[in-house]
Amino acid sequence: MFENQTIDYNHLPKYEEVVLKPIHPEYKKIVFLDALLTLIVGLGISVAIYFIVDDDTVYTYFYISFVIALLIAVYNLLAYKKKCYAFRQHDVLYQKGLISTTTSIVPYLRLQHVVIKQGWYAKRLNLAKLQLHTAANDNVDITIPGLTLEEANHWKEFVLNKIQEIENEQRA
Amino acid sequence: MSKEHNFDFTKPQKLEKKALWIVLGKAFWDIGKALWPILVIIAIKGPSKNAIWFYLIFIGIAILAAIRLVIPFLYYTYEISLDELKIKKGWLNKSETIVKFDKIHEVNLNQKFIHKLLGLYNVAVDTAGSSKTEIEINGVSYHKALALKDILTQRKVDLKVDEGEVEITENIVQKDLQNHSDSKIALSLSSLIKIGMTRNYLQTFGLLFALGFQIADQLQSVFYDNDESIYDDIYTKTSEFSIGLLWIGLLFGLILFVVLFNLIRTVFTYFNYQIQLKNKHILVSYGLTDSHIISVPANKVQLFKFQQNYIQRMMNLFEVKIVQVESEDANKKRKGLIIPGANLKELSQLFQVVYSKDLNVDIKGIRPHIRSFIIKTFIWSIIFSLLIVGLFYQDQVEYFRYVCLIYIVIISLIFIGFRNRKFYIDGDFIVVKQGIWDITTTYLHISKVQQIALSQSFFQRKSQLGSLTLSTAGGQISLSYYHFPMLQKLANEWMYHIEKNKYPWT
Repeated sequence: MFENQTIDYNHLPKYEEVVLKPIHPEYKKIVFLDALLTLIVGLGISVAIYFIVDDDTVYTYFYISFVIALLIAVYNLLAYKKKCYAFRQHDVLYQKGLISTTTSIVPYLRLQHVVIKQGWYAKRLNLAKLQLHTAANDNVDITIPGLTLEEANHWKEFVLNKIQEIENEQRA
Repeated sequence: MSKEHNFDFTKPQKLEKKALWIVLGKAFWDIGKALWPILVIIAIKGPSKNAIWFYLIFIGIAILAAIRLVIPFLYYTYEISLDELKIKKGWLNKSETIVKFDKIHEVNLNQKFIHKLLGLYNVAVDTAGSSKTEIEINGVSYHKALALKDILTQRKVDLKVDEGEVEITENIVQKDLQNHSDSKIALSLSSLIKIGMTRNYLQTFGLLFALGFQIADQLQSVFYDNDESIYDDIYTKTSEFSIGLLWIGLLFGLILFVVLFNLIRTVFTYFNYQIQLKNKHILVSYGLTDSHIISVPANKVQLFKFQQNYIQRMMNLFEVKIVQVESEDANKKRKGLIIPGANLKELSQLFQVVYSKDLNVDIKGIRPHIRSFIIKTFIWSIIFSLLIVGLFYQDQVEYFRYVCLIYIVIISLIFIGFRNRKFYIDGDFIVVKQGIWDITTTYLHISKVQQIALSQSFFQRKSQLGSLTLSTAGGQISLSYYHFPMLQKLANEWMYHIEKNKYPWT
């Protein structure tokens, strides 16, 4: 039977009202390690410049790379708490950003494949990240970090099932 | 298709023998490009004692390279079995690529200059989904290429009756303009010239400007001592009347050159441009030295863009770009169809074919909040005040007026850009209009959206502004500095439509 009811906007699901789930607290450790590495690299470059450049003007700029590394590290340390996600019935939401908050919405209908990735340190913490790839270019695909491996596997299965469901429906 | 051309694709087919020249020609071209400095040196110096060894090595490398190219060429075959295209490659390491017809996205025929000399075509088979397996059959004769295209695409659109595609293709290529049906658009030479004179000014001008500075710098380093500047000389000479006149002449010459350059490029690229409009399908052929036969099925179109500058508006000309799925890997081929010139009627026809909907050009759009202009102005103001402070400290106050002039120009360009930026919603379409000189209008159907991203910065929270980005397989559209609750409402609505209707995107 064909139906064509009037849709009231107020009854549409609103993404901004969805309660998002923060990522796993253990992820903090990975962020700390990353920040530390960034700082070391920044410091290393600064020290190298200081000793290699044989010029009085070196005092005016040798610290710049360290300052940049420091800013990046501090930003990451503050920003990771803002990462959160939610799986809805038809789409997935992912939010991030400290100064500018960005929420990405991807319908399962548009997903092409799902990948789980684990770095060496994440493996020790039993964490993983879930990458959700669409056909969109410009590298805008969602990557949800800081999931436990079980969670990641669970959501991967869930999403793949959804994709399969949609495909079956379209065939029928 | 006439009966004398009967091809049995069920048996393995080799490339045309002539196609070997394409392979070799390309190899020589590449080697020549890499080695020309050495060759020039040899040519200038003349033969030396050791030269004979050098030549021997050179010839040896050339022969090896040729063998490396000839073997794959000889062992390359393609064939068609029931519903798939099979490509076999390799002599010792054999590989076989099989593509099912229903995975074939589109088949395009391309000709480079060398192909044109030999009368051969490069059949490019685009496969849907993974762009990594792009197949090119380089070196197929004209009728065979058309037959191949016919088979590969016709099976795919089995549901739609697509008879006589080859006839139509042939008609197009053979400049058969006898039946002037409404569904055919051809760009005459005169309109191509008109188009060539009005497009891409800025790029070419910028290029020449950079080139001019480069030349001046070179002259400086050759003819001037360190403490003199070529620009001082130019400046003082310019103030003399006769040389001032010369300068103006030079400027006009430059402009003329830009226009001519664009004109020639446009005419060469888009020579004999013909468009065939069919039900949900556009077929295009063009090119003087390199020619192309491209078909675009409507459902593969991701974005529909058309642009117009002030001069083109007076001449009722639009440049249309139809963006298909773009692959982001190494080959960087942008799969867009450019129609260099179309009038409003033709534009509407194209739009009608792609979206089965009438194009409505004059709709009032919503402008972004004035803060987008204020913030850009603010950033540029900071940059310029730093510049002025710098000049002040260096005691070069006389340059202030130039800096101020440039500042005013930049701010007015930003303002024009702000004034031109609009967006509106037209049924299931999101339409964005933007640009400073070339005003581009982009149409995006909701069904092509892959991802919606909404963002709001800390500073925008109080004034309830924010931005929204729609990502598609052919690029992005961004709406910045709009009322955030409105964007949220739109995002929710669009998501609802996509998920409820289960729109496919290809």
